[in-house]
Amino acid sequence: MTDELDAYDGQWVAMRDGHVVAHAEDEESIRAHADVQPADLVFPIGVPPSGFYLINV
Amino acid sequence: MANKKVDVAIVGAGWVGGIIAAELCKQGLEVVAIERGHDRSTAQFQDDHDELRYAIRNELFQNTANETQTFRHNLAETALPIRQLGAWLPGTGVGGAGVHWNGQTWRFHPRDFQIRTETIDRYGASAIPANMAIQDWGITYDELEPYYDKFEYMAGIAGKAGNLKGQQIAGGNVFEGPRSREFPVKPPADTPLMALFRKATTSLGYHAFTGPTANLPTGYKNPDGIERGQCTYCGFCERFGCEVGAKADPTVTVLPVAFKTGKFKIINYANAFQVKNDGKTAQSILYYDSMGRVQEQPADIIVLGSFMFNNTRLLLNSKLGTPYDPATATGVVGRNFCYQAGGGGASAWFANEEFKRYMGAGALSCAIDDFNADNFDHTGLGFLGGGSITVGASGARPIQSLSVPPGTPAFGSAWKAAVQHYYKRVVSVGFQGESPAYQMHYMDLDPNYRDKFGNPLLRLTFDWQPNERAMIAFAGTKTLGIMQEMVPNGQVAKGGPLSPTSADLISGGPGSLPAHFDTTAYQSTHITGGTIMGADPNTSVVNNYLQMWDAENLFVVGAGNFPQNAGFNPTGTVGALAYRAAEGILKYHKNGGALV
Repeated sequence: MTDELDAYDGQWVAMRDGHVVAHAEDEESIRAHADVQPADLVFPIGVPPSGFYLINV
Repeated sequence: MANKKVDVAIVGAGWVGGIIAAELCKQGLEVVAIERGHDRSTAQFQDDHDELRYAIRNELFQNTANETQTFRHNLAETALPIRQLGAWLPGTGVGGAGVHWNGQTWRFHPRDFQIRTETIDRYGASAIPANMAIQDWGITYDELEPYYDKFEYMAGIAGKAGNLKGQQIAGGNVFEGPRSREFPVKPPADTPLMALFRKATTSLGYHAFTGPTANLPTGYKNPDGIERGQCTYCGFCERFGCEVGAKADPTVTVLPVAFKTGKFKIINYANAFQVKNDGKTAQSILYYDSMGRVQEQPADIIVLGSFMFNNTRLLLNSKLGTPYDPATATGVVGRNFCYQAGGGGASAWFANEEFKRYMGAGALSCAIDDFNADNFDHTGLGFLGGGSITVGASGARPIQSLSVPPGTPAFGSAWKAAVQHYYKRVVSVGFQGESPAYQMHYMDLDPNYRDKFGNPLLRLTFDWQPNERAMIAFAGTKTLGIMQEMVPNGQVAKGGPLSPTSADLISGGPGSLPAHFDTTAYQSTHITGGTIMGADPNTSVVNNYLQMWDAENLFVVGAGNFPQNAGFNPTGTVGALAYRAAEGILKYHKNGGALV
C-alpha cells in the first residue's frame, strides 16, 4: 500500500517505501528539498498535459 | 434439451475464437462458437463514418446496462459498477475487439517473457518492489516465434524486420527478438509527420522504424488463399469496422476459412455464463439465448476465447480453478490484473505548418523502442520497465480529434478560431508504458452487484503504483525532447498555460498520472491477466498450450494469459497464443492428457 495521494494533486512528491517524504510545487524544488534523498522516487501527481490524446484500441 | 455435442465449443468469435476455429476446422473437427453479439461484415461499414454512433455511443462495444464490471482502488474500498464505458472499450459481436482495433501488431520482447529472471539477473532481486508480482510466462520468445509468424502471415502485417535470425537490420526495430523471416508485406511510406519524427529521433541517436501494421498498404493474398485490398486511408479504424476489409480482422481473415469447411457454426445472441464441469473435466457451455432461456452446448473440448474479463468471470462463476486471494497471494483465477500506463506524451501546435491529419490508418505510425522494456539501463532510475514511443497518422475524426493549446478558452469564438486554426496543425508523440503485476491487483466476483441475468459481476481492484509514476515522469522528458527536436522553435510550457500566439507551441515535460486510476477517461483497452499462463500450477491458470491445469479439456486463451502487460499493443501476442492453443488442442484431441 502507498500513501493517499489526493492531497498532492498538481504537485511533485518524493516517495520512499511507499510513503510521501516531501512535496513541492515543481521538480526543482522537490529535488532540492532537505528531506529528499537521491534514491527516492520523484514524480508529479495529476492529469496528463492538455492536448495529449492516446488512440490505442 | 442440449444442443448436439460437437468436437469443440468456443466462447467468443473474435481473434481467438476465429483463429482456433479455422485451424481446427481445417483438420476436420466440428466447431461451434457461442457469441453474445451481432454478426459483422465489411459491407455493414461501407460509407458509415458516423463518429457519434460508433465512437461516442459505442456501437461495437459491450452494453454496460446488461453487463459491466465493478471497480475499486484498494481492498478497503467498496467497489462500484462502471455504468458508462470509459477507460476501456470491450468489444462485442462477431470479430470482437478485432473489428474495432487500430491494427498495431507487435511482438513482445524476449525479455518480456522472462521478466522476473532477467530483471534479477541484471539488477538483483532487491530491485523488484516487495509487492510487485512480475513472473515469467512459462514460454520463451523463441518458442512463441513460429506462432507470431503464422499470425502475421495470416493477417498480412506490413513492416520491416529489425532482427532477422539474430542479425540486426537498420530501419527495422533493432530491439525486437529474432524473426525467422521478413514481414509478409512491405511497410507503408512515411507521411510528412512520420518523416519529421523519424528525422528528429534519428538525430537524437534513437532507432526509428515504421510501426508494424495490419492496415494493408498493398493488396495481399494470405496462405489460406484469402485476398484483401489496400487501405484507403479514410482514418476511421479505431472504434470502427473497416469499410474495405484492408484492416485485418477475424471477419475477413480466419472466420471465412472456418465457414468454408462446412464444419463451423456461430450461435449469435448467446451469453455464456457457466462452464458445466465435474471439477476435473469441462462438459458443456451454459448460455442464455436471445429470449433469455438457458441453453447448453456440449463438447469434447471447450475453449474460452472471450474478452479477458469474461474468461476470468466464466471460470469464477463455474467454480473452476482456485480463486486468487490477495492477502496470501495464493490461488490463481483473477491473479495479476494489469493495464497500461499512458500520460508521458508531448504535443505541439504549429503556427503555420499543416499536416493532412484527416487522412490516415489506425496503425500508420513511426516509432522508437529505445525506452521500452529493458532496452535501456535502469540503474539508478528507481523504476523498472518502459514503453513504446510513437507518432501516429491514424486520422483525425471531427469530434474527438479537436485539440487546442493549453490556455485556449473552452468555448466561444476564441475556441472556435483555435479549433479551426489548429485542426491540421497539432501533433502528438505518445508513450505506451508497461503495467507490472502487483499482489493487490486482481479480479474476483463482486459480492454486491449482479448482471441482468442475476450472475455476480466481476470486481476489479487496481491503482497506479510508484514504479509506473516514476516511469511516466521519465517518459515525458523523452517525448518532450523528441518534440523539441521536431519543433526546434517551439515555445515550451513551463508551469503555466500557453496563450495561442503566432509561435509554434509545445506541451510536455515529466509525465504524470492522476492521484488514483480514473475509470471514466479513455486510456487503453489493453487489459490483461486473470487467467495467466506459467510453468507452475500454483501461480498460473494455464500451461504454455493455454490448457487449464485443473481441467485438461478446457483451454483459456487471450490477453488474460499475460502475467503482466508489456509496453506494446497486445493483439500480435494474443494471435500467437491462439495459434499455439490451436496446435495444443489438436494434440489433445488426438492423444488426450496434459500437454505439459
